[in-house]
Amino acid sequence: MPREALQRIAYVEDEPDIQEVAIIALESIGGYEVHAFDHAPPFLEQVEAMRPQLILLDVMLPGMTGPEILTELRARPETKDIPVIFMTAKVQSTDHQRYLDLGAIRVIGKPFDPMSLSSEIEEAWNALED
Amino acid sequence: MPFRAVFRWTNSSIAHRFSFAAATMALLACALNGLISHHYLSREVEEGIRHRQEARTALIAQRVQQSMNMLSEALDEVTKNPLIETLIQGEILNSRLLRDVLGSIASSKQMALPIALYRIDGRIMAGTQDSLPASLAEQPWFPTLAKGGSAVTVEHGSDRIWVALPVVGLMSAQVDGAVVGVIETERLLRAARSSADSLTLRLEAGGVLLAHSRGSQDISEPLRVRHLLEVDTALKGLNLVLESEQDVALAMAPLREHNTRTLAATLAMMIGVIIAAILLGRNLSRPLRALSRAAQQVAQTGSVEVALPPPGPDEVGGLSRDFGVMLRKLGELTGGLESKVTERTRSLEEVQSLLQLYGERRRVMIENAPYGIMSLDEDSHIEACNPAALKILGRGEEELLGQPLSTIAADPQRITDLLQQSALGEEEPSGHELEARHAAGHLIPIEIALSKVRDGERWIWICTLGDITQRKQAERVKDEFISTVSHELRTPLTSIRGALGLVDAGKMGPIPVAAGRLVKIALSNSERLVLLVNDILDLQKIESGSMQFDAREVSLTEIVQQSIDANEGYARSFDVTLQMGGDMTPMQVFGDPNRLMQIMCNLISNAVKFSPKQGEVEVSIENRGRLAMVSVSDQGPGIPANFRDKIFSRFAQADGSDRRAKGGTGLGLAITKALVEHHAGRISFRGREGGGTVFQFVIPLIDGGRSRNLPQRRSGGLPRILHVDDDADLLNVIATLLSFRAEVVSVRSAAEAEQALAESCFDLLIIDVGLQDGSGLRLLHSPVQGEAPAAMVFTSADRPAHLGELLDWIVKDRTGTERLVAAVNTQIDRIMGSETNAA
Repeated sequence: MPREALQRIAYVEDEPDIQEVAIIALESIGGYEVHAFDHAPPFLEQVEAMRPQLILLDVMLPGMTGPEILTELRARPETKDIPVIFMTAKVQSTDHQRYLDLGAIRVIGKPFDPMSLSSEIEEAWNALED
Repeated sequence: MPFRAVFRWTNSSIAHRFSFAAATMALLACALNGLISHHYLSREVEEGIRHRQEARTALIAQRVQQSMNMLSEALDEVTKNPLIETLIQGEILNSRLLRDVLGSIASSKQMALPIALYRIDGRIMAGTQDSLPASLAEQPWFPTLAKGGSAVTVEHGSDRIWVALPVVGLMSAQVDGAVVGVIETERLLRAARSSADSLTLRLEAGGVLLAHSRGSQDISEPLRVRHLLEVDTALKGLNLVLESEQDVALAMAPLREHNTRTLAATLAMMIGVIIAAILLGRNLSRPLRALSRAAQQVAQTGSVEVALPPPGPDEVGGLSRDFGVMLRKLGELTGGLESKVTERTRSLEEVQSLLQLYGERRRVMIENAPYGIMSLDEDSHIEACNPAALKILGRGEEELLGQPLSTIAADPQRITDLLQQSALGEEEPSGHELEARHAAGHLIPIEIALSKVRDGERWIWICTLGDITQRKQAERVKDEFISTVSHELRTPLTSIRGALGLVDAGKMGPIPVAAGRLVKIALSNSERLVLLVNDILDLQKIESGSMQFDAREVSLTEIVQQSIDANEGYARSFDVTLQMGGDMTPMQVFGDPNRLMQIMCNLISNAVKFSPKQGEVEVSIENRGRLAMVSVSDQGPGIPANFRDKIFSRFAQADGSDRRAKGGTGLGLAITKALVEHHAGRISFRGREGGGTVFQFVIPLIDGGRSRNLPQRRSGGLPRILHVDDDADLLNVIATLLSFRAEVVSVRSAAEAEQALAESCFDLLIIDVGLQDGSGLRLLHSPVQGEAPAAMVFTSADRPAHLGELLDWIVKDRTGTERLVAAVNTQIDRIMGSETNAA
C-alpha cells in the first residue's frame, strides 16, 4: 500500500539559480510544496516545525555539507525517519554508493533534467516501503 | 771441441769459409791423387822393374850361355883339327904354331876365352893366353882325360869352370893330349853387366856359387830372378843357374822422389789456393762487411745517411745499390712514418684526453645526475648505485648493495612484475610509477625504468629511478584544478540547462517560435557542455588514477547484451540496427560493470553515429583463450589513413564539423582506451573489407581461459601470434612492430611456449631454433589447443630438415629485423587473406 502522496519537500541548495530552476520544476511540474534554504542552519532550525515529507540536499554546501546535515537529521528523533535524496555534481559511482550507504534513498546527479526531476523524486518516494 | 772451434772459425767469416772449403778441397784432391798414384803407379813401376830385371837377367844368361857354348865348340873343333893332332903327334913341338892354330880357332869363334893344349902328362903345350897354368897334373880331374873322358869341372873356391877334352890321335886312336878351356865366370858376369847398376848376379853350378857380382851392400827389398842356363855340349851336366838380385827400394827411388816432389807441389798449391781463397773471401766480404756496418749504423743511429761500398756490376755491387735504394726508401718511409706517428700520437693523446674527459664527465654525470641510477645483476640484486639513488631512497650504500631491487618498493610484487615484463620484452623500457619505502618510513612516489642490457658475457639490469613527489604534487594540483573547474562549470550549467529545459518545455508559458528555436539551440549546447565537462572529469580521473573502480567478477557477455539493449533506442534514432554475434557463452571478467558498460556504450554510439542510414552495427564477443575479445563493427566510411594514429587521442575527430554533427565530445575513444587499459585490456581497430571499421578490445578472462570451451580459431579479430625466442630484444621488436596487426604473445623458453600452446590457440607460431631449454623445433610436435598453428622458424643456422611443415624459415643473423617483420607480415596477410576467402 502506497504511502500518502508526496506533498511537502524541503530543499537545501546554496546556488540560487539552481535552487530557482529546481523549485520551478518541482512546483510547476510536480506540484509539490517546496521549502528552500540556502544553507544548513536555518534549515535545521526550521525543519522540525516544517515537518517535510522528503528532504532534497545538495552535497556541497557552505558550512555544513549535505552528508553532515543527514547525520544531524538522523540524530534527531523528530527527523530521523524523513527520507533524504542527495543532489550532487559528483559523478563517481563510488560517491553515489557512499551516499546511499549513509541512508539516502536516492542520489540525483547534477545537472539534472528539470522535466524529469519531479518524476524521479516521485519514483524514489513510491519505492519507499512503509 | 776442436771441431767446434773450426766450425766457429769457418762460420765467422766468408773468407774463412772460402779458405776452409778450398783447403779441404785441395787436401782431398792431393790425398786422392797420392793414393791413386801410389796404388797404381808403384805397382806399375814395380812390374816394370821386374820385367826389366827378368829381361836383363835373361840377356846375361844368354851371353854366359853363348860363351860357354862357344868354348865348348871351340874345344871340340880343336880336338877335331888334324893339324893339332899332327902337331901333337909330330913330336916337333912348335908351340908358336899351335898357339896360332888355337888362336885362329878361337878367333873364328870370336871367343875371348883362353884355351890351351896340354900334354898327357899335364904340361902345357900351347895356350892362347898366359893366364893358364903350366901344368894341370895336380888337377884331380886331369887323369880322366888320359882315359879318354872329358872333364867339365868347377873349381871350388874359385870362379873358374874348367872344360877339358881329350885329343885323340887320328891314326893312333890314343889320347895324345888334352885341350883345356877356362871360363872365368867373374869376368863373364862383369862383361854381361852393364855399367854400375843395381843388379847383383849370382852364378851357381849344381848348387855351388860360381860368381857373385856385388852391387849395393844392403838390399832392404831384394827382388830375385832365377834363370836356368841351357848350355849344350859338354857343359850340359853343370846345371847352371843365373840368379839376379836387385834392390827394389833403390829401383823405386826415382818414383818416390817423384811422389815427394808431387806432394810438395800439391802442398804448395794448397797453400796458394787457401791464400787465394782467403784473399777472394776477404775481397768478397769486404763490401758485405761494409754493408753490415752500414746497417748497424742505421740501426744504432737511426740515420740513413751512411757510407756504402761503391755500387758495382757484380752481385755485391748490386746488393749495395739495392741497399742504398732501400735506405732511401726507408728514409722516406721513416720520415713519413715519423710524421704519421707524431700525428697519430697526438690524435691518440687527444682521443685519450677526450676519453678521459668523457669518462670523467660520465662519472660526474652519473654522480651528479638528479636521477637515481643503479645497476643490478641478472637476478636483480643491486650492484651499484649513484648518490641520487641513495638520496631518493634515504639509504646508505651498504643498505642497498646486494639487496634485491624489490626491497625498495612498498609493494615488492610490483617490482617483480616489472622485471618480468621487462625480461619478457613485453614492455618498452619506459617509466613506471610506484611507491618506494623511504628509510625514514614514509612512502615516496618514484618513477622507475628498467632495461636489460648485455654487459659482456652476462645480462644486467640498468634501473633508473626518480623522485616524482613534486611531479605528483603538480599533477595533483592540476587534477584538483581540472576537477574544481569542472565542478565550478557544472554549477552554472545545471541552472542554465534546467532553466532552458523548463522554458523549452513551455512550463513558463508559450514562447514565440523563433525564440523557441533559439532556446533549443541553447539547450542542446548546454547539454553538450555538460557531456564535455563530464568526459573531461572522467578522463582526468582515470589518468590521475583517482577514478574509483568498483571491480568485481562480472559477465562480460551480459554487459555486452545490456549495452546492445541500452543503445537500441539510440541506434533506432539514427536508423541503424544493432546485431549481436559471436560466441555467447558466459565469459567472466574482473571489472567495474559501469565502466565496462561505458566502454561498450562509447563504442556502440560511435559506430552508430558513423553508420549510414539503414546500416548495421555488429557487436560480437568471443573467447580467445585467456582473453575475451569484443568487436564492434560498422559500415561507416572508415577512418582516414592520416587519422589512424591519432584516433585514441583527445579531441580527435576526423574534423571539427564531424564532432558537432555527431554530437560527440572528442574524448570518447580516449576515455574508452583508458578504461580498457585499466581493465588490463587492449583496444585496437582495423578497416573492414568493403568499408567500415572494426573496433575491438580484449580483456583477460578470470579463469585464464582454462575452463572455456574449445576456442574457435580467430574470426574477424587480430591474428594471434606466439613468438618464442630467447632474444628479448627481438621479442620486443617483433611485438612492438606487429602490435597493430596482431596480438603477439612473447615467451622466452620452449617450456613457456608449450604451456601457451596448450592453453590458448594461435594463428601463427614463430620459433627460434636455439632456445636455452632446447630446440624450438620440438614445439612443432607439441599438443596444441584447436588447430595447429602455422609455424615459421627464425634460425641462426641452417635450414631445418623438415621444412615441409613450415611456412617459412629465416636466417636471423644475416637479416635485419625489417626482414623478419616483413616475413611475419606476409604470413599475417596470408592468414587474413585465407580468412577473407573462407568468409
